[in-house]
Amino acid sequence: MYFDYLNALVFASVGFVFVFINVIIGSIIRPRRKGTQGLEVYECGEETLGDAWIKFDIRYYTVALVYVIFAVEIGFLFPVFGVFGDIVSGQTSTIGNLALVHVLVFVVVLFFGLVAVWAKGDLDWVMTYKAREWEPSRPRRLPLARTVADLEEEQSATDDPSGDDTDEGTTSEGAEAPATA
Amino acid sequence: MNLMALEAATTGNAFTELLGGIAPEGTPTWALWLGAAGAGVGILVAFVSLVAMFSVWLERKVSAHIQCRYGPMYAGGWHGWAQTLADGVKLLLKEDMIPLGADKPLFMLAPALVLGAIFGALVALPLAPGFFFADVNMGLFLILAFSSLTTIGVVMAGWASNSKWSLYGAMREAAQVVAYEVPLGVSLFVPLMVAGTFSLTEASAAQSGWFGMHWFIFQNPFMLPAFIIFFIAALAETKRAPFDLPEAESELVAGFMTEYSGIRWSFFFMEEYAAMFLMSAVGAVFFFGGYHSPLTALFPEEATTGLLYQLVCAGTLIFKSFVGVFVMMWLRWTLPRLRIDQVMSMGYKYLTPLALVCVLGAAIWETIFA
Amino acid sequence: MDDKLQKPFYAALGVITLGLLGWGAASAGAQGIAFGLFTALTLGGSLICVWERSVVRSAFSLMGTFTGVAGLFLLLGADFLAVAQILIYVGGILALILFGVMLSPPDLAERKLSRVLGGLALMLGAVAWVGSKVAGTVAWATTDELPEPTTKVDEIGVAFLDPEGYVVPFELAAMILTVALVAAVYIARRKASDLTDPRAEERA
Repeated sequence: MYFDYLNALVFASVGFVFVFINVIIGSIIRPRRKGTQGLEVYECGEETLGDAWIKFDIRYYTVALVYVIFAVEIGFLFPVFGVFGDIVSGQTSTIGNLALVHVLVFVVVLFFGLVAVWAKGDLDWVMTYKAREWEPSRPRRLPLARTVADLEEEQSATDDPSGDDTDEGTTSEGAEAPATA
Repeated sequence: MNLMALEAATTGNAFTELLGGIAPEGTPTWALWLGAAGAGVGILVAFVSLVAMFSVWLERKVSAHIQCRYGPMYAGGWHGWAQTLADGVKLLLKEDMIPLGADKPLFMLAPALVLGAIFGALVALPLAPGFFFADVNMGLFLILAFSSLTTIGVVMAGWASNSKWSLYGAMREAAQVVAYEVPLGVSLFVPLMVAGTFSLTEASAAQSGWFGMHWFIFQNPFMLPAFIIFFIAALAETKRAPFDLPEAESELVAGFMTEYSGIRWSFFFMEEYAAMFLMSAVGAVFFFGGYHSPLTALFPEEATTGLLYQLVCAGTLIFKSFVGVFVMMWLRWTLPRLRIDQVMSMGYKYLTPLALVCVLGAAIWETIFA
Repeated sequence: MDDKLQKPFYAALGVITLGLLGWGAASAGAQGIAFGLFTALTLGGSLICVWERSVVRSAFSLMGTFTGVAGLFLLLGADFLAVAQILIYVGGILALILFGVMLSPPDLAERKLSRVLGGLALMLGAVAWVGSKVAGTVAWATTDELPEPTTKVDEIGVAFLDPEGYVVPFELAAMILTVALVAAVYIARRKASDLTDPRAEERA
């Protein structure tokens, strides 16, 4: 057992190191050109506005929450189903068909949980939250090229109040927040 | 070196055995293990690189022919077979760019994490009866765990880039993989029940009967729906179309890898193709007979330890995996991309309940008929 | 944390890692190296977690902690627990933490050196206190080799379904998971309503 997992560990570290080896080889053999133009964050040719480290939407959180529960369930059921066939055929245990009842109860109970969450509408994706405008409580360390607030001042009152958030619906420091009426 | 002495003597790993046959008497076991690990590592790196290179070439060819084009035709001569090789050299020679606003350490760490996870997952895959890197007792569970590790690498890449495109792509990737890991795991309970083992080696060996067609997919009526669910979830796990929202090029530029270029970028590509291959291989092992086919059944009993048999077995599994990879490529040019809310509702509202129903049905079937 | 302290901190971390690896190799050979590696991952991950200024970096560093703990489980012969640890903690809980962290304002929290050091001292003190209480009373099993693990994952599966084994806890786990699912999602939904713009009415 230890040998097999050791192999897994060795291979994972090889994959890890492989990347850095290639990067180093590349840095040795490639021609050197210095320039800063390419180092800007890509924004479709426009000047880069602010940074992307924004407050993200809660709907992703719900998805991950449901996953954690089901990951634990998978963890419980994996060993059970690995031996299920042997148990019901009476090879490894004397429980026999009672095993089916136990498994049925387990899965059906979890199924009810899924149904309950579904019925409450928590599995629905499109829930339009209006995000609160966020202001940094302390001055930020990272340099900002130009904040969204600057931009809004420049093109004052051109915002459409019905600004929809069809996609992720996140706000980049109030970029998509409802405009003040 | 008691840790290795314990195992190296008992393992059926082909490299250890091969080296044990060649090495002079009295070679310490740790040297044998080191040799076996070295050979395994060399083979694995070469294998993953070859699979990725061939897959990239295949992808370009398949997409070209579906669109009535030729695709790459010049590099190397015959149908542009060396195109990926040339691309690889080009990528190695490209400028190594890290955006100014990026989180530099995480930016450099992310591709390594992603590739390390996929290499670790490939350990559990047996290509032929004696041709495996490690006979992990819980191979399937290990593959699931390692493939969930790649998600963290992708989120890291997206966040460290400090680009809006990257962040959106990374968050979508995380949400999507998290949502589809559930039906993936649950649908695999069905073959697990039939196989009675987590080890991919044992599962492959169990499917040899009746001209090598004693495949799990024929063992239980719930296997086919389980496979369909598995395949859809595998598409989402490997971020292939129609689930390629994390790198949707028409809306997110390149998703989480927008800021990556050159050799660093190529590792994400390598991971994607290795993951496609791995998922197809897991499907082949747990649904379609592993390395068994009528061709391997032709070998008489005493020939099944020979090298030729091993090679035919490995060829069979690789062929089956590439059939899966081809179907994934075919789907990419057939189906339009889904929306994020469609992806999410499909994962939790349709695939997960269906997979649970499949598992219950299969459990009842196993109890009554098997 | 002050950026000037960044380099010394990571240098110290590297020294600690090397020290652990060397100590493991010297005292217990190959499995000592493995133990040193996993300990370094666990400790390093958690130290970076309290050190780093950016919360997201802190969250990512937890990955090292979780993986290291999985490795320690593995060395104890609990391979199922180790893989489950990676699947659930790194795949699930870490993703959850990342989403949670990204929910909070992306402010770079200042961490005062005195506070970090104070926390560290407190932690070391607690460990020393518990250690001094436990040291004499527990008979630690020591061994030079890792024994072949006796519990296989198949036995776990059988024990889960055995009426004389753990079938009641197994079914209870299903109930608890269901309750947790419904409740957690409910709480998350309540939080979601907080997200609606509080100044919307004023504006209207």
